[in-house]
Amino acid sequence: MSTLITLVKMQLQEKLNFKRIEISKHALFNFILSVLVALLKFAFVTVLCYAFILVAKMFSLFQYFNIVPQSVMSLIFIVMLIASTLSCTIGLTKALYYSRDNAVLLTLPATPMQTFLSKIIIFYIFELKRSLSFIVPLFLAYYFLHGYEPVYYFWMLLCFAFIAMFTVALGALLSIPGMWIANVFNQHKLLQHICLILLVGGVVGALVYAISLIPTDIDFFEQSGKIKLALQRFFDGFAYYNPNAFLGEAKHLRPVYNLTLLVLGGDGFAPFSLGGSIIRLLILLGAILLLALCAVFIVKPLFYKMASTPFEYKKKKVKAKSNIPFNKKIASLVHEFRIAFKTQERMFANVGILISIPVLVMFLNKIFAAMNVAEFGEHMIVTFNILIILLIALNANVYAASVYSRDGRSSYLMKTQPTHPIYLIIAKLVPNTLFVTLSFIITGFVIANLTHVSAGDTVMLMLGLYFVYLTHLLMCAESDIMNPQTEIYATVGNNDSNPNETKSTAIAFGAAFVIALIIMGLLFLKENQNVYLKLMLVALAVLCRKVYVFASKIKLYFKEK
Amino acid sequence: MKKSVVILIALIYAASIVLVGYLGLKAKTYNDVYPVERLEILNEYSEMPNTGDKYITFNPKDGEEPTLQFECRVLPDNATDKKIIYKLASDCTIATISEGGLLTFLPDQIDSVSSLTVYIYANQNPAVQEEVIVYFIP
Repeated sequence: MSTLITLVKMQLQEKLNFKRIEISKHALFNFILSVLVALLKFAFVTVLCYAFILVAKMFSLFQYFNIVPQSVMSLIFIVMLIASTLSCTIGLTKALYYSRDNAVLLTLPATPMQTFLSKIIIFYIFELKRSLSFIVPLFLAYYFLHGYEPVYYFWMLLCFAFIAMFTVALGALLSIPGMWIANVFNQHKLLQHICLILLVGGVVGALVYAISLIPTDIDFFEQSGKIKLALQRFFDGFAYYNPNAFLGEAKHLRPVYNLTLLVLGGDGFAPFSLGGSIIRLLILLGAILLLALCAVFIVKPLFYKMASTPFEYKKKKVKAKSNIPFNKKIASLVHEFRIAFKTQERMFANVGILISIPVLVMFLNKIFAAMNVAEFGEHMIVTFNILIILLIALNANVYAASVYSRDGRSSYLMKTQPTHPIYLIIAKLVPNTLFVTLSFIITGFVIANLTHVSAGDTVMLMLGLYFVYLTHLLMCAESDIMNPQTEIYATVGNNDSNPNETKSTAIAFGAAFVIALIIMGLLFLKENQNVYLKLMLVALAVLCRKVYVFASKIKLYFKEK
Repeated sequence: MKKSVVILIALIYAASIVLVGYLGLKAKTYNDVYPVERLEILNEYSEMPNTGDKYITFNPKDGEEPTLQFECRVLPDNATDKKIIYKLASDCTIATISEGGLLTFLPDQIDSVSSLTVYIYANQNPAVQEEVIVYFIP
């Protein structure tokens, strides 16, 4: 047992990045602060959930009666459960079969079973942590609002402890097909790329199709009755055996509905049905036991086999390629593009930005187009379009606030390159900027087609916003050069509390709100013409100034004495 | 992007829909009456050079029913009461007109070229009216 605890402690220390606190001068203070912040976050999310349930109850958002049915909680629970299971499956597939530390762990004086269990326990702890971030506050708020007895709060926590166990056990079992899929993709890179493109294309196509189905006439006041009825029928679909229920197939989700009832202690008509809840708990325990047995007898041997197979000999033979010399000015650009396309995280983030801005703007404007808005409403629509585009684009820039520090101690190598550092500095920013540029172009088409803004005005508006984006990008990059965080990235790795990133996020929000408000104000002044032209020109002037300041600072910073 | 930032943007996104839905909509008036402003005759007609009176020359061919269907448009299009009333002079004996504006000549009563005046009123406001003289050529 002590070996298992040691193994868990060891891995937990690595995963929770304790080193970050240890290397700080004020270790105890930082620890207390992080605990306090976690508690505040928990309280904040609980208050938000409480407000949501209260508003839903007061305005009868989901039912004709003043209640929030358990089926609403169940729907949220289903989404969270699916997300957790997916996350656990992917994480466990990586940790059990592909993690390089498995080979090291097996050399320790512990049995394979202990090593296997330590991995599962780590995931269980993280699953519990994830539950505390949203789903527990949500149910806690539900409990508060419905006046549950204090003893039932312990029941809820107990239920979530078992549900987390169930999710991890299910994830462990699903990790086997996960590994098969991963193996197929690893061996056939082309297939992986095709599948990814098809998946992304399919998701975008489905989203655009779903958006196109939005009715052309929306009036929340007039149609509130119809909307409520549709919602009620939808929620009845998986809560009751209602043959007329909308989306009747949802009845297959009744097991999850029963999990919700387990946490809530009944179907709402009786405040807490202990008998029914205990039966549900026993069924859940049975399912966990079954999954755990599968994990021990099927997953563990596979884990042991994979972990004990040396990976050094499994390297694929790589075809030798001749070295192509590039112009030294564009060599860094090619290098950065390769990194951007080959780093999964960056690629997902970039594709996410490329898709999210146009799709979100399209959805927003499709909804606005279905509303019969007044002149004031039209100005509001433009303002919110600007706000949403800037919020997403500027927050994507936060990456630039640590782009040079991420190289850790090797970041100074920039000075050793046989070219001016400005090329290297700019090259690091280009790949992300390219994706945002494409995103802006597509968004421009969406705005020109779905809003009352004319094509010419749209071009000026989008150019203006693009100049704002570039200015903020340079600002972020400059903050990282002037105040580098290389030491933290060199020792701890990913830094959650980089002051440059925090500052960039704050500026992103501030700038987005200020610009949106200024445009709204200008649009209201009727005698004020050419608002978008003014925005474009002012943004261009600010960008020119920023480029000048940025270049000057780079020259000064990299000046050799 | 940090999770908290994504959540904040999502909240602002949802709030924007709610705000435009509550504050930006056009004011709606219920049970409002939109009066008839004008009637427009859709049949092909001519106008007298001096007086500007509208007239239609009706010359049915052999075997053709001596009927003429009047078609009118009520303006504005969203007028509350779009009903139209068609009338002939009370002493008119050579034709009848139905509620739907179908003018039927009685050839037995007509020897030579005859004329009559059709009065077209808006049901909501009889002051809004049109007059058309119809010349019947047997």
